[in-house]
Amino acid sequence: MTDLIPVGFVFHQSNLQAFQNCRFSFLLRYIKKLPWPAPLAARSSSFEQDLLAGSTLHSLIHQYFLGIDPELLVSCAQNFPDARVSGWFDNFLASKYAKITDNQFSEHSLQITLNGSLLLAKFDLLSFDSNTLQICDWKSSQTMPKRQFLQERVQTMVYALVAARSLPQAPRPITMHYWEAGFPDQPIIFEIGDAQLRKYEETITDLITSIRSLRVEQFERTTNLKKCAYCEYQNYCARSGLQGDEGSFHDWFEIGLSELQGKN
Amino acid sequence: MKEFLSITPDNLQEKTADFVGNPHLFISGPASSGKTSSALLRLRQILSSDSRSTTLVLVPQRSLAEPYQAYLRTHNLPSSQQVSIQTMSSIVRRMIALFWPLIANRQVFRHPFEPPRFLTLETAQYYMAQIVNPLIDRGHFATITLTRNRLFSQLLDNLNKSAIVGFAHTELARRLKSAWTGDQSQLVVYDDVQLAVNAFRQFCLEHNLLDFSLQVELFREIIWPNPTFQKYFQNQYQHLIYDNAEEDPPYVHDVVASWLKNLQSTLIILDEGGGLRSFLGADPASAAKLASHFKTRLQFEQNYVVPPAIEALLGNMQSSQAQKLPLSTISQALIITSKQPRFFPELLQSISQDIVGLIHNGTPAQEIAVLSPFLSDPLVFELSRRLSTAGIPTQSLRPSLALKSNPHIQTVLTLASLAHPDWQQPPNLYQTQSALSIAIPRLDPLRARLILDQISPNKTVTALPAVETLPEELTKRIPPEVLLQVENLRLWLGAADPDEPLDYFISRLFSELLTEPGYGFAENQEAGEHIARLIQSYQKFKRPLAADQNADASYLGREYVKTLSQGLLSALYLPEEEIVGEQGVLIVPVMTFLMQNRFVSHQFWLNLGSKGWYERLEQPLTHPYVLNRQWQAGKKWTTDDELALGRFNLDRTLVGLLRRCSGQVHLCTSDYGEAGIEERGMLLTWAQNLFRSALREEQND
Repeated sequence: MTDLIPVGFVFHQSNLQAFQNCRFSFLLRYIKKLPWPAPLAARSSSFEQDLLAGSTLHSLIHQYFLGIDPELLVSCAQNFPDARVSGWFDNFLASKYAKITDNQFSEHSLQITLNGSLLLAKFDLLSFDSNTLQICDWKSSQTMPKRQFLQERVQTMVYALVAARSLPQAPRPITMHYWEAGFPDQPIIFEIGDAQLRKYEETITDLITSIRSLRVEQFERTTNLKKCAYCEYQNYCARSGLQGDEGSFHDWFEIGLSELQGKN
Repeated sequence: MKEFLSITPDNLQEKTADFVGNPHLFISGPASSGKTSSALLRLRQILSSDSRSTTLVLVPQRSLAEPYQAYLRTHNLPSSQQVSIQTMSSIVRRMIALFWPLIANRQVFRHPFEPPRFLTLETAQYYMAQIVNPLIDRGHFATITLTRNRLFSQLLDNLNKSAIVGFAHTELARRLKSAWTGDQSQLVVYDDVQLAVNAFRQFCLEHNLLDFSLQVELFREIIWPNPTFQKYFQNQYQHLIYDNAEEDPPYVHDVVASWLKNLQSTLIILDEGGGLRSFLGADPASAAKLASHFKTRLQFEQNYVVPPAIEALLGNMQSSQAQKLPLSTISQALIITSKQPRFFPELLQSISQDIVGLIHNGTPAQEIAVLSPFLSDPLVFELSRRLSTAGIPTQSLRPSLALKSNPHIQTVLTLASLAHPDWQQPPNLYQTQSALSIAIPRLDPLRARLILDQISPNKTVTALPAVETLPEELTKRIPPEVLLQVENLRLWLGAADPDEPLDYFISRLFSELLTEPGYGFAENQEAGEHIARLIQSYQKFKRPLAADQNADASYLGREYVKTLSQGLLSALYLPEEEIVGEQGVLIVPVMTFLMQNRFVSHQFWLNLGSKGWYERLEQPLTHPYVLNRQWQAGKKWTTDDELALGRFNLDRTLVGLLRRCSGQVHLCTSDYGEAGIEERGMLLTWAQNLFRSALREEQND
């Protein structure tokens, strides 16, 4: 163990995913907190617009679960400058996820201690009854992500693990629903049983232990240059102008969205 | 800084910690009497016995939350997530965004269902300028000699006062006039104030703009009473710890008072010597009235910090009896140098030596604070440098990163102006000369000037000259590779797309050119940090403006640079006052220290002769004490009131500082102060009188 990670440091899906993508970017962003000019032009001209639209959709759904009159929300969505938001919100209202029941927690945070480290998850919607514990995550991707891609995400593991450990009496299996607002009829659902949870716990514990054990020089730059394409530190590492892939775009979009929503 | 929880709890503290036995509790007492320690004990009990419920720790300013944050940080509790540390301003801002549809439904705004556009202080000033500049051109505010940004900020301050105190903004002029006793021409100025704030508010309502005052009004009038909001808020928090209630304005007390009945437990803490932020609307009298809602009230009197000599001094200051203190007691509490230095740099030298001596004798560096009403960046730099030479770490407020004077930022903005002739804000010769030699370090300022002399007869620069057009006698004096860099820079700027957003432009300029080998920002971490903050500043600036009609990239870039040059954006957007540096000697303004909720062994007081210890800022357009809930309608603000306020402020500051000192205070003064002049303010006189009369007494004995 080194003393690089301060006492009280909170691990969450964004910083763990960032570490998996590039140890050096984790060090700069979450430990040193170094501000650096991001390669804005590399991120596509609509990056900010997409972030704002995604964040607004999250707010509207949150407001819906708070009990604000849906008609008011529809009016707000229709007056939002980006027309996609209104369509997405209509899709949501028409979906099975708009059903209001007891024990629903929208934009809800839970935190556990895992092997001495704090692990946080902020859920878009957490709901449970005597039979199910359901985690929902709203997405506004332009293309439908692959099931395999989501299955391997740190987010899937962290959310399921934190929900299960925070609510030990909750029913099994846990279901994790990724609902894409642009593809409302194709939710990607994972059923997570106890065996899977144990694997997740092991993976995340190993990941955190590994982070805690590294010395500064061991936070190395990724060798997968596609991960650098949208990274704010690409210029710091003299890795400007690289081509990215959908996965790295997704990562930076998720980080941006979390920051806009104040989740991290 | 000592651990708050290291203090052994006494009976009062145990009572305070017991949130089951005493669910609703109001405690008051002077600083350093263990109130916050008790609150931490209570928080610990809540977290350990009720891990599912959520506690709101409400503080007037984030710095006052440090003991709570430190507790949560160091105890690594999974339930730390169940504690939310907030100021009421941050709650108001978030709740307005979350419950905006409820406001939309009330049709307050012209386009109610469009999203709100939140204003920062800087962007509010920007829009205020749009309203007030034409008024000034028409002759309003003619007798006022303030800079424009101070004028705009005082107008906004008036609006804020009406919202936080709780009266209609349309009453501002009437209230200000009713207390005025001076020249009658000032009454016209108050009419101008009313005209400007009315027009500003109307403009905000037409464009969905929300400055701080409008946020507070909407929260109080629409959000807070709404049942949907109330249901949400009751579910959010079950326990409340409200520390330093005296530093908040009355609207916060109103909100808290009406919330009490719905909470499982409440602890309200009042610091009796507080109200330090009165000029910002803090109202200790309003806070004290919260006590009437509580059956259980505890008075804290025990002193956990102050040594006997300072205790005696405090007793003497607060007593109406004119009993003299012995010189030996005063000398134990207050240290003065045997020989007063003549000039300020000598004083800094002497302070550094004293601090080195204290540390050699075992005082931890973080137990020492150097305090002054105002601290200039050069003073902090010089003192830090001297201490650093002796291996002593220092902490101070994050230095303001002045946009106009930061060389990295100035370089980028100058180059941006050159790349955007459509802005019609060409940089001057000196700015361009400096930017060139910073962007290309091998091009010294002299040669940069020679290049620019070829094209700027009228002292402004609209574009860089092509290298091929430069005379041979000049190009012979500059290495070819440097000329190539100049040419590359020119071509790069010339190829800029006028429709590219300024933040994108800056990001590309930084990564495509300025960090390339041979250019000025290559391997320069500081430059990277500064440019990142510049981009952040622009992005915050453009957020509310982007929805304006015709607000294309060119317009936004031009407005940003123009606003900056007018001084409305004097510094980068930074979080609330933030103390940076590794744990060490603290060098901060007095007010910052008092709002840190901490105590130290040794305080060094600088600039004793300054009136900044007690005088309020000159504010001809507003008045924090007249626009106050405690102000009696119709009463006049007189010179006597002003003098009494000065004395009151000085007393409160001295008591506040002394109660946060567990060792000694070092009074540091030189013949000539930091500004090079002799100052004779009330604090210096108080200290001199104290010693003189004790000396006289001793000699008489």
